[in-house]
Amino acid sequence: MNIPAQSLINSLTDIQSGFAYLWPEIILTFFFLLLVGLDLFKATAVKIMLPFVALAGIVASIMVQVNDLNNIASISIKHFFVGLLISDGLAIYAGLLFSVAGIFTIVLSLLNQNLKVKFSGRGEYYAYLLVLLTGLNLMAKSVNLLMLFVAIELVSIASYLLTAVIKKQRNAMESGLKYILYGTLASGVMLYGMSFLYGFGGSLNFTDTLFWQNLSRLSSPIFIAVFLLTFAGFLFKVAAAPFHFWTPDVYEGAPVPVVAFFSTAPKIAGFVVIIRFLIQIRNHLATILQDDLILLIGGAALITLVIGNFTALWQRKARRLLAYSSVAHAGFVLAALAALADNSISAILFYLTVLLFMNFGIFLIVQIFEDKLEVADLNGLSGLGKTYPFLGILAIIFLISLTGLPPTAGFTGKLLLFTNIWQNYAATGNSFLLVLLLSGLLLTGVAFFYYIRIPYFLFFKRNLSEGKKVMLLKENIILALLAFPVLFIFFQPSWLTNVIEQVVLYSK
Amino acid sequence: MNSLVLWALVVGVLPLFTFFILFLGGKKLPRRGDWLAITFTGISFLISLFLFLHIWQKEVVHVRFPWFELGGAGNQLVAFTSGIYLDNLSVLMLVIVTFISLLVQVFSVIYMHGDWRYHHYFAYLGLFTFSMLGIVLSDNLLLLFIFWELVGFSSYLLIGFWLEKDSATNASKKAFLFNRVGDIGFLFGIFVLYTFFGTFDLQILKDLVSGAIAQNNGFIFPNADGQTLSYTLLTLAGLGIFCGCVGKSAQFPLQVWLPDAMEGPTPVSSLIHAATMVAAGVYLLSRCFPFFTEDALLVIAIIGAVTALLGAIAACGQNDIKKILAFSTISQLGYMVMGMGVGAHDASLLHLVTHAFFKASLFLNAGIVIHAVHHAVAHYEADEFVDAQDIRNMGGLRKVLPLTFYAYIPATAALIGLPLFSGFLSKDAILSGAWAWAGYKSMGGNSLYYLIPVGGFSAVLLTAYYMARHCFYIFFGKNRLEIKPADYRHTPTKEASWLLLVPVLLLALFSIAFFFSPNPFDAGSSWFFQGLSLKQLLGSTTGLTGNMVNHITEYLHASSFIHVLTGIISVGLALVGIFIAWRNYQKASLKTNEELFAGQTGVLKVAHQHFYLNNFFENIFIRPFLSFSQEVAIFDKDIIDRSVNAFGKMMVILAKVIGWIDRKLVDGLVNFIAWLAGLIGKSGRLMQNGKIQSYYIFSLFGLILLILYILAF
Repeated sequence: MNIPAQSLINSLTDIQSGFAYLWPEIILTFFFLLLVGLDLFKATAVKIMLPFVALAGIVASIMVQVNDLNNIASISIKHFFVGLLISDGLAIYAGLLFSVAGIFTIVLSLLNQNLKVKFSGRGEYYAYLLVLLTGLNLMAKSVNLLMLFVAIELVSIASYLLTAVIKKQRNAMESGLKYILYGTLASGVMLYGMSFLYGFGGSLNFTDTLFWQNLSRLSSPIFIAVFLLTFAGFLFKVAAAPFHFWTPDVYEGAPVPVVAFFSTAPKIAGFVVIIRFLIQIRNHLATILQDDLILLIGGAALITLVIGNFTALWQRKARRLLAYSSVAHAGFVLAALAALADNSISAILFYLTVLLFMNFGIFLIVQIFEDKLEVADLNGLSGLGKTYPFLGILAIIFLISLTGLPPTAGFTGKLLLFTNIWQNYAATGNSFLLVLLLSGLLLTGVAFFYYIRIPYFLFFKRNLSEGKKVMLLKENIILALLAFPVLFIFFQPSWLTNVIEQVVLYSK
Repeated sequence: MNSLVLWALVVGVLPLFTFFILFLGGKKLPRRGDWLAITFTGISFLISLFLFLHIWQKEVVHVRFPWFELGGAGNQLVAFTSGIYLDNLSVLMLVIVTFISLLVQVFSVIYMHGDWRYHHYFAYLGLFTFSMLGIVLSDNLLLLFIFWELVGFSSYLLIGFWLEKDSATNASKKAFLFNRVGDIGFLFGIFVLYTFFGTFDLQILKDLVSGAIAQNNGFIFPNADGQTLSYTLLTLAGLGIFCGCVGKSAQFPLQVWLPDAMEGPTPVSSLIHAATMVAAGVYLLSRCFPFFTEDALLVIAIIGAVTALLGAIAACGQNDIKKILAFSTISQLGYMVMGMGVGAHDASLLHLVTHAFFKASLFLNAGIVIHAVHHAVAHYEADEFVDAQDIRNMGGLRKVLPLTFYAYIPATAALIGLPLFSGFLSKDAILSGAWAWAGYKSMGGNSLYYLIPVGGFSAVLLTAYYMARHCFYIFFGKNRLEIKPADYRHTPTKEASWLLLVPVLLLALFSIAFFFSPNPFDAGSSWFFQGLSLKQLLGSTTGLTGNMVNHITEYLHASSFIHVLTGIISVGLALVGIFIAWRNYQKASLKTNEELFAGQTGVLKVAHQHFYLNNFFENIFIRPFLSFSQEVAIFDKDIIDRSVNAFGKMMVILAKVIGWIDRKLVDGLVNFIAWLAGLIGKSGRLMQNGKIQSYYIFSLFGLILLILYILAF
C-alpha cells in the first residue's frame, strides 16, 4: 500500500463528485432504509402505507432519471468512482425502464390477493424490491468486473428472497430454494470465468483498451472457454439456454408481480451488460476471435429459441407457458446481438421496452385468472372470453404483441430485430446470420401456435363451469393503460425510436 | 326549376311513399294504413287538379335532369337525361289516374275488408299509381319503358293478389308473359329510334322527325344531319312501338290475358284493367304518333278494328259479369287504337277519358253486385256451387240495389254510346274519323278501306246487344235464385256501405255528356277535344305521315254529312242491338234453369270460348315450346350432363391420385415436422424434471457442448 497522498486525495474527490451520478441509487437506498424502519411499527395504517412509500421512492428516482435523460447531452459519457461505474445513455435508459417495471410491480402487488395487508412479509417485500432495483441500476452502470459481480449478486440475492417471500406457500419456498442453488452455480461459473479474464487481461475494467489487447493474444479455444464461462452468469440473468432451467420453476412458484418483474427488469439488465461487453469486443478485439464470438452468441441464441418455443408447445399452465415464452424472447434478442453490430442496440432497446409493457400486461391477466377467477391451467380458460369480453380482447392484444403480429408494438419490435439481422447479414455475408434469421422467422410461427391457444380457449371453447361473474374495474383500467402503449407504439413508433436514438448516441 | 315540376314530382312520389310505408310497416299501423294510402292519393289528386288548372291550354313545362353518361364513339361521353314533361295530355292523365285511384282505394276499404294481406293490397295500389304516373310524366322513351315494366309488375302483383288461388296466380303469370311478348317489340322500336337518332328524348325525337321529306322508299331528315332512312325500317320501328301497345292494351292477338286478369280483386280490375293501365298503350300511341308511317297507322287501324269487333263478339257469349266487362274493355280499347290508326287522335284520347270513367264505374258496380250476390248466396241453401259472378244467377236486383242500378245504367248507356252520355261523344268522333279516313284513302279507288268503319259500326250493334243483355239479366225480371231481397243488402235500410256507393255514383255522374261538352251531340265543341288535338300536343311539328291528319280533317269538313250520318247510324244500330237483347231476354226468361245453363252452340260457343284463341296459343306456341324445352332438357340430361359427369369422374380419379400423394407425401412431411417439433419440445420438457442436480448437469453439459461446437467450426 504505497499510494501517494495526492493520488488518494484525487481518488477521494473523484468518489465525492461521483455521488452526483448516483442519485437514483441513493434515493432507492434511502427509501429502502425508511421501509425497513417503518416496518417495525405494527399499526395497520403504517402497513397500508408501505407500498406507497416504496412507490414514492421509485417515483423520486424516476424523476431524477427522466431529468438525466433530458439532459443527456450535457451529462455525456462519464466514468466515476475510480472507473467502477459509468453514467451513459444506456445506463440511464435502462434505469428508467427498471423504475417503470418497479412501479408496475407495485401496482400489480396492490391488486394481488396473496400480498394483501394481512400478509406478514409486507415490509420486507417492498424493501427487497427497492434493493433489487438498486442492484439493477448498479448492474447497468458497472464497467468493472468486480463491481459487476457484486451488482449481479445483489440482484440475485434480492430475487431469491422475493421468490420465497410468501413463506406459507410450499412451492414458493421450493422455487426460492431452487433459484438460490441454481443461481449460485451460475454465479460460481461466472466468477470462474471472470477470474480468468482478470488473469489474462490484467485489468478488472473491461472498458480498458489494454485489457482487450491482452486478451487478443489468447488462442481461440481458451478465449472461447473463458468467455463462455463468464457469459454463463449473464445468460442466467436473461434466462437463456443453457442456463434457463430456473425459469419455469421460479415462474410457477413466485408471486405473479415478482414473476412479471423477473421477466422484464433483470432481463433488461442482463442484456445491458451483454451489450456493454459486445461493444467493447467489437471495438477492441481481434477479428478472428470476433467470428468465434458470433458463433458463440448465435449458437446460444439458436438453442434458446428452439428450447423456448418448442417446449412452450407442451405447457398446460399459463405460467409455465409464459416462462418458456420468456426464454424464447431472450433467444430473439440474443439472435440480434449475435451480429455484434452497433445498429443492433437501438432495435434491442426498442424490443425490450415493448416487452416491458406486454409482459406486465399478460402477467396481470394471469394474476386476474388466478386470483379472481381461480384458473391456473389453460383448459380452465374455456369460454371466459365471452363472460369477460374486455379482458378477452385485451388478452388477445397482448398475445398478438407477444407473437409479433400487427397492429401491435410487438410486431414493430420483431420487425426491427429481423431487419437488423438481415442488414447485418447483407453487410457481412456471414451465412450464420441468415440461419438465425430464418429460424427466428420459423419459430415465430411456432410461437403463434402456442400463444393463440389462449384466445382459442377464451373464445372458442365452451364454458363448462358456471362461475359467478366478478367485477374487474381496477384491473381493467390498469390493463387498458398497459395496452395503450402496445397499440400506440405500433402506429407511432417514432415516439420511441427518437428517444432510443438519443440514448444510443451517448452510450459507450 | 319550375315549381310546377316540383309539384308534379310530389304527385308521383307520394304513392311510392305509400308503397314503402305500407309494404314494410303497414301491419303495425292502425287500420293497417288504408287511411294513409287514401290521404296520400287524395293529396296527389288535389295537386294534380292544381297542375291541371295551371297547365291546361296555358303552357307546356318541360324540365330535363342529367341522368347518366356513357362512353360513345370517338371518345365522347353521351349524356342521357331524364325529365318531366307536362302538357295538356299529361295533366289530364294525372287527374284521371289519381282521381280513379282515389275512388278505387276508398271503395276497397269495404271491399277488401278483412283480407289478411290488406296492407299489401294498398301498398301494391300505391306502387301501381306511382308507376302509372311515371309513364305519364316521363319525357323519354327509356324512362317510360322502365315505368311501363313497373306497371306490368304491379299489375302482376295485383292480379295474383289472392295467391292462394291457383287460377289467380296462373292469370298473373299469363298477363305478365303476354305483356313481355309485346314489350319485346316495344324495345325493338325504341332501339331502332335510338340507333338512328341517338336519343330517347321524345321532344328531341319529335323535332328530328318533323320536316321529314318523303323520297322514293324512304325519308330524308333535314333536322337529323340529313340522313336517309328506309320506309320499311321506319314502318317496322313504328310497329315495334305498337307491339308494346298491343301487349298492354290487350289488342289482337295478345288480348287473351285481359279476361283472365279478372281473377284479381274487382277494384283492381276497375283501376288497372279498365280505366288506366290498359289505356297506357293508347297514351303511348299518342306520344309516339309522329313516328308512325302511313302503313304503320294502317296496321294499327286494322288491328284496332279487328280487336273492337272480336271483343264485342266474345262479350256476347259470356255469362260472367266481369268477363263481359273485360271483353267490352278489349273492344273499347280496340276503338281507341283504331281511332289512333285512322288519325282521329283527339277522338281516341277523348274516348280514353270517357271510357276511364264509365268503365271504372261499371266495374265498381259489378263489384257491389258480386259482393251482394256473394253475401246472399251464403244464405242460400243449395247443394251445388253457385257462381256469384254469373249473370244467370241474378235478376231483379233493380229493386234490391236501387242506387247501384241508377249508377249502372248511365255508365251502360255511355258504353253503348247513347246520346246525352259521354260515350256517344267520343265513339261518334272516332267513327266519323274512321269514315272520313276511309273516304280520304279510297280516293285512290280502293274502297276496301271502308271495311274499317264498317267494323266499327258493327261493333256498335254488338256492344248495345251485350251490354243491354247483361243489364236485363242482372236488374230486371225476378230473382232466379229466390233469395230474400234482404239477404243482398248490407242492412235493411241500406243496400251497401256509402264508402262503396259514393265512388260509384261519382263515376256514374261523369258518364253524362255535359261534363265533357256543352253540346252533348258534338264532340267538336268539347273543351277536352280542342286540348287533345294533334296541333295542341305537337305544335307545328309534323310526323312521318306529313299532312295526312290535316287532309282528313279537311275532308271531314268538306263532307259534313258524315258527322250527322254517323250519329244517326250509330244510334240506330244501338237501338237495334238493345231491341234484340230485349227479345232474347224475353225468350230466355221463359226458360227453365236447366235450359238456361245448358251449353251454348254455334257462334255463341265460339264467342264464349273467345274464338279458341287460348287453345290456339296453347297448341301453337306453348305446347310445342314446352315439348321443345323437354327435348332440350333430355338432351341436356342425357348428353351434356353425361359428358360433364364423365369429365367429373375423371377429375375425381385424378383428385384421388393427388389426394393420395397429398396424404402420404405432403401430409406425411407436415406430420413429420410436427412430430419433430413435438419431440424437441418433449426433450426440453424432459430436462425440466424439477431436480436441481440434473439442472446442474444439463447446464454444464450444454456449456461444454457449446464450446465443442465452436471448436468444431
